[in-house]
Amino acid sequence: MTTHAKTALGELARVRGVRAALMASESDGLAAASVAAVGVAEDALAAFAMALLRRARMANAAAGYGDTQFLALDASRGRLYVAARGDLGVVVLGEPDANTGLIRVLMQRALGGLE
Amino acid sequence: MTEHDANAFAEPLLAFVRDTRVQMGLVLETSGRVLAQHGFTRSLDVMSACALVSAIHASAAELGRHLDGEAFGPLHHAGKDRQVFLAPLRCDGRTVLLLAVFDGASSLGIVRLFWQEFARRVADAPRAPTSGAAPDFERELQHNLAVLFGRA
Repeated sequence: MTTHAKTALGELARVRGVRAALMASESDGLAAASVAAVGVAEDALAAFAMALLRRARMANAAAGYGDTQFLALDASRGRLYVAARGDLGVVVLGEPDANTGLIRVLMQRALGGLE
Repeated sequence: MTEHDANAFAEPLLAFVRDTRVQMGLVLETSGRVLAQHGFTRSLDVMSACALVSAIHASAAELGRHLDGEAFGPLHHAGKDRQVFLAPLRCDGRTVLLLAVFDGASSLGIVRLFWQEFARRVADAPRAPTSGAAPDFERELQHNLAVLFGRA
């Protein structure tokens, strides 16, 4: 894991309401680096989030909307955020009241720094 | 394949295939005896796959014992369009193998995740004691491998 990735995930994990932040590849759904609270199944989070990203990409491509760069899934007890560039995705699991704007900026910064 | 084996492995395998969206799934003993399958269209394919998977596992396990002191765990091979995941699991004192063949509709992460769930389901399923023939065959296979690697 690069120093940038460690720093980026650390920044995301420090945002109030964030329970887990990880980097994974879409092609295999495996986490390359992660920071997570106790009780969060990181492997499951990476696998399901990347599967969701793949489906979203297929749907957007089929609709002619181009590549999927960011998706957010709202549930009654939490939110899932996925930002992607190429095969790499950044996944954040947050509480319902987590700061979506800040999380999104940090996720894009995390991806940008890996180029 | 006994009726008990069919019940013990068929339903967990079906759930595994449904959850992971793999194209083909196969459960077998290390001797190559099939316990359950899903997605194979011809019986010959199943037999060929069982023989190959059994040989691959035996080779990989022996290599693991030589290099690492114990048999290697799950094995993954990625092709251009398809991938295979081969994993052993302990069940009633014997090793059972799971083979999954998948494409872009699934991923290694998903398959690995539900392989653990499959192992839990198999462990929870009721089954009858295994017959005496397969362990004998397995012992013989292990002995022959040991001879082959100069350990006997």
